[in-house]
Amino acid sequence: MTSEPQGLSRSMHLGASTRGETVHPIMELRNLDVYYGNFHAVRDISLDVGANQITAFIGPSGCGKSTVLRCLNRTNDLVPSARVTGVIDYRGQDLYASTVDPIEVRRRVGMVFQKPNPFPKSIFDNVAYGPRVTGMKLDKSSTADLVEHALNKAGLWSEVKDKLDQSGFALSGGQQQRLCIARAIATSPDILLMDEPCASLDPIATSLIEDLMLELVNDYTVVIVTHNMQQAARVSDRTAFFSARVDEAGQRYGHLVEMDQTSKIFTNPSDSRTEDYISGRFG
Amino acid sequence: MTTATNWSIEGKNHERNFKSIMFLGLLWLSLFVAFLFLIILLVTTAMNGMGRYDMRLFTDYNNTTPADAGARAAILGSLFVVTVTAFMAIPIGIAAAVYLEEFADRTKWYNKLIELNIQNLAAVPAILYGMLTLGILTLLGLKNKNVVIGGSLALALLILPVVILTTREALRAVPQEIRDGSLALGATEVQTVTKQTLPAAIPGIATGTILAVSRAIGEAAPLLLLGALVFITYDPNGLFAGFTTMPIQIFSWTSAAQDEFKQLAAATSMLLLVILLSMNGVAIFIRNKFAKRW
Repeated sequence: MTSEPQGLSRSMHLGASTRGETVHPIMELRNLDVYYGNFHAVRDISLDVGANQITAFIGPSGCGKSTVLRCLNRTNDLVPSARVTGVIDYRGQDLYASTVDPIEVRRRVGMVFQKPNPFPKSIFDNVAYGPRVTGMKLDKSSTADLVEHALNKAGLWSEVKDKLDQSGFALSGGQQQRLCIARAIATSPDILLMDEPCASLDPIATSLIEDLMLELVNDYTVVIVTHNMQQAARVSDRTAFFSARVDEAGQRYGHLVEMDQTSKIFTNPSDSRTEDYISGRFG
Repeated sequence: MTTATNWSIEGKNHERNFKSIMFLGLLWLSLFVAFLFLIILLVTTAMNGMGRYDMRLFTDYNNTTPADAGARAAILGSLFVVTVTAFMAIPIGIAAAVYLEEFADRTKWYNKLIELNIQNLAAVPAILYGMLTLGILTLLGLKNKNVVIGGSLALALLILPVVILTTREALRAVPQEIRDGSLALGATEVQTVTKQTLPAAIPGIATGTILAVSRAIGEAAPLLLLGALVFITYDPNGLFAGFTTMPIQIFSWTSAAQDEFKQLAAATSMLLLVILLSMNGVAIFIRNKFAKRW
């Protein structure tokens, strides 16, 4: 767990209107641009991710929200042609500085994907994988403790505690997704990125994951990309609205329209485009 | 519209008309022809070998008297050569496939060149690998080319492209999400390959590799070129020992004058067939039992 900022209280979630009012940024994006080869995909993104808050990225398809999310743990590096310019300040360090080890970044900034992707291993080994590969020196019993802790945090322990040696594939879709969350928690990350984590789940599984996010944000910072605007409204403290635009050369690119408190974005946005999108008039 | 539309769905079944049935009949006939020749071949070979399905086939060395001859040297030679082949081809093949599939930047010209070459190598006639090996052994100054290591080298070169291609296929079948998940947890690319991708691909790799090795067992052409057509009356006892293999022994006995030798050749052929079929059987078993559905 991180030591700062203590001033944030989860009680803010009760009074929805005050949620996300203050921001203690843990990540500050400044003039972020992403290129794929010659294609300038995302342009000039500046926004703050508040510590121990849920930040939601919403917007129509192709607006670059997932691309920006993938910059936050440097998974875009794995696309050979991808190039990122601008600054992502993480606790006073530039995420893209040449002295930064991307592997170390990914250990601190975990990620949950759209499609649940458990490893073809036992439930136990799925959760223990992260700590094992990151070189945490753990004996048998402390590994077991860590696995139990992570599964507990992900709200899955009671459902799987008697079948830890079964394959992760044996679980339902929603359970698989919570297993992936447990797996990400096991390495004690600082920030959790979620790329449309409920897109392939039914409403019941979705509501479980949403409750879980509200739990997790006590210990972690959460950034979520979602196409489900009700979801963004329900869980997030702050919302960034991205949109796509076509430049003079005919290239379509993603940009940030506005970012604000979620309650403000959904009731009284500053930009008319946001209101059009939220009310379903475009996108 | 004023006329009433006819919504009737009754009529003669189009799946059962003359053309459809003729077409199906032709397909069955083609299958039957292919199968028929296989059966004829199997039955005649099995009949020809009758009388030599005995233990002496396994225990006796080759002999100028057919009644005293056995395939012991050839059986052991085949096993020895193919084991050495597997040890040479499988690690190199898997490593090459892992590089090409997991690490190589496909936009680079040299990787494209390698890709193209491997695809073509898989279709190169076997005898060319014999010639290549002959050249290598000559360069190395080996006087006697009919040695186990030479034969294994030729066969390893022969099956290497197949091992690489099937391993790549197996690696490609592992979903990208598994790699993404591993990398997002802070695993390195090497850890991701050794702990996730490769273990998940093992059933596919095993299947392909067994099929490749079974091809090596049945191969005679490259070995003939190395001079493996010799009279061996001892067990192969080292990498530089002379050897013969079952296909070569069969070839040699088939061209002999006495009918008893032909009988011996047929019996050995059946033995070779049994070995090949059981290897393919194991490959199919592994594929069905361990293949993962993602």
